[in-house]
Amino acid sequence: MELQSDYKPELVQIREIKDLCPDVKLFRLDHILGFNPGQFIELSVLGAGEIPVVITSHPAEDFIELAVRKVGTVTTALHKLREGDVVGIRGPFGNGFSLPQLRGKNLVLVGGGLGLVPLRPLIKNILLHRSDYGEIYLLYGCRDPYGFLFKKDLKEWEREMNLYQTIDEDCPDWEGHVGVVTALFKKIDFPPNNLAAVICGPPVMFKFVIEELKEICVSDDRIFMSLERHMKCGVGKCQHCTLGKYYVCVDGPVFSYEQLRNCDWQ
Amino acid sequence: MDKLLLPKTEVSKLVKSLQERFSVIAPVERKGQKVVFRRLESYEEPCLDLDYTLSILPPQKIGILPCWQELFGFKVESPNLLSETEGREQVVLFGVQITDLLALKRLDKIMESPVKDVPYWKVRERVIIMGVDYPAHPKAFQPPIEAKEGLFDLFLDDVGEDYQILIGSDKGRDVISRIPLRRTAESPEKGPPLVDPILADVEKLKSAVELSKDSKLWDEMAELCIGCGICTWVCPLCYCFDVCDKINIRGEGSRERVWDSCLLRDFARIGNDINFRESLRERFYNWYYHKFVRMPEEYGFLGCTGCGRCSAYCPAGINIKKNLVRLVKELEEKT
Ligand SMILES: Cc1cc2nc3c(=O)[nH]c(=O)nc-3n(C[C@H](O)[C@H](O)[C@H](O)COP(=O)(O)OP(=O)(O)OC[C@H]3O[C@@H](n4cnc5c(N)ncnc54)[C@H](O)[C@@H]3O)c2cc1C
Ligand code: SF4
Ligand code: SF4
Ligand code: FES
Repeated sequence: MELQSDYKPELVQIREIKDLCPDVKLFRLDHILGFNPGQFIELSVLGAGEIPVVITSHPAEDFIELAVRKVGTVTTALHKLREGDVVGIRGPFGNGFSLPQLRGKNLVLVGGGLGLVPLRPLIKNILLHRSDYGEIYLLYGCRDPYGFLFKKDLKEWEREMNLYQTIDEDCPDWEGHVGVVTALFKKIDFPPNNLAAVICGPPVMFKFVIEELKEICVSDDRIFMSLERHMKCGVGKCQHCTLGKYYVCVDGPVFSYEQLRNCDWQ
Repeated sequence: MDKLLLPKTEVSKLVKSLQERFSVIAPVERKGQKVVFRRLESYEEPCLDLDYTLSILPPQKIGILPCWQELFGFKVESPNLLSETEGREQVVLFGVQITDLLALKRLDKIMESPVKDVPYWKVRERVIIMGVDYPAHPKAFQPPIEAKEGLFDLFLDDVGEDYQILIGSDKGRDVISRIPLRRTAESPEKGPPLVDPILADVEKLKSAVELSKDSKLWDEMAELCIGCGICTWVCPLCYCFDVCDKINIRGEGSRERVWDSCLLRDFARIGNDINFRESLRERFYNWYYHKFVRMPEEYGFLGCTGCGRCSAYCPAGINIKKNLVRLVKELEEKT
């Protein structure tokens, strides 16, 4: 089939809206979509504009879910919408995570802030075939205790993997770890080999997490990260998301560290 | 086969007859030496006889990929997309110079694969391309061009008193079929075009730019360049775009594609004030990187056809050909 883009979104209804934390809302859309965990869509609020948003539900579900933080024009317009209102979607776009490269390995999953959003469908997928994987470590850091997303999911996941949560600075409501997510590495005894890692989070986090992963001998081709870039078209035309020879919207957003070593990816 | 000739004095007749059937976009003179492409009024004649006809904007950026292009219309209340108004007119892009023809061919390829850009082709399919042979602009550096016939529907080749009409497509043949032309069996005199070798070796230029990351050139350019983006607006192979919504007070809107420039500060910026190409050095290098590395990697051709516009209109006097020559020299010194 010839690939083509007319940039026209499909209009879908918002079935349900939930508050996840003070500035992040979960939108459940009445739409079934085949996609790979880690892929994103272009989401339209007609009149406000279009933005890239990663899909946080699982492909087997009969809806799609998006978790969006209010930061600017489009996200603010989105936060004003109500259940039953209509948004536009295009996609899915990008590559998503490559499960064959994770299967059979001990996994270190690192999420910072909204970074749990792309990890969620991946984790759900992994848990469907839990025995295909070795030990799983989920390291999840937020600025404060109010920022943690998907608390119900976390409770469930904790039974099947090692979950470590941390907040940046001490806070009276919090009894768990305090410190940046990289500080957690020192507290964990990782298996000595057969490790693969996935990193999702704010750009500042990557460099430090990679240093820690090198310490525990995860090789470059087994470190996967989901990158954020300015994106407009989602189909490799507009040039906003370019990174060296790559289009993050097409060749990414998930890259192995090996692919990026020689680019100015930071 | 007979050659078809059109005396230069008959060009305006040709254009008149085209105007009967098509909307014609052609070069017109604007105050002094500047030439701009725009839709010709019925009483107007195109201007082809300046010393050189380097229009400020390449004609494809008027007729095919304009600054604002509607992708679709919509209603904000009870949101729905508006169906398209069909039946747009056929357009003749008249008087396109050879380096712009080459650039358009490449832009077609970019908009065709790996993903076909539907809004582009909706316009493109209705456009008939008529090239004209002009003397080269002093800042131009035309590469050698093979298979010129594949670049146009019709071409007016300068052979002295006459234009020889070259036919590049059935569309072109059809357009010209109703126009009285002189036929001749003899071969009109025509010297070889002035070509410049710098753009001829794609692989070499690619390495020269790819391996130049640390060159002082980029520091010097970052000092000179004011980041205005003019070079990208005037370039026939710059097509970066932004997408925005426009709405009116009746709640009707349109989503538009609008030119953007990778040299502008916010081009790669995301939230939290993170900018992936904060410095002008990075942005300037990225401009060349796209044209001379990423595009050859993706399509096998360069993102520059040597029209000379970016050099002619840069307020800081930056000359792309000089830069390319220097990068190649630096590469040769390295190896
Ligand atoms: C692949 C991908 C997946 C994403 N997934 C999510 C998600 O699941 N949840 C979520 O909350 N956010 C996600 N984002 C970020 C989200 O796209 C931006 O927050 C959003 O575009 C900001 O739009 P705005 O109109 O509200 O802000 P604006 O008013 O446009 O600007 C706010 C800031 O965001 C920057 N920005 C503008 N456009 C973009 C853009 N297209 N991409 C990135 N930054 C931009 C601006 O430079 C500005 O600094 C994702 C981004 C990418 C690239
Ligand atoms: S880079 Fe400059 S010389 Fe090359 S095609 Fe673009 S405007 Fe013309
Ligand atoms: S036209 Fe000249 S000054 Fe303006 S962005 Fe281009 S190189 Fe820089
Ligand atoms: S978002 Fe347009 S090229 Fe990637």
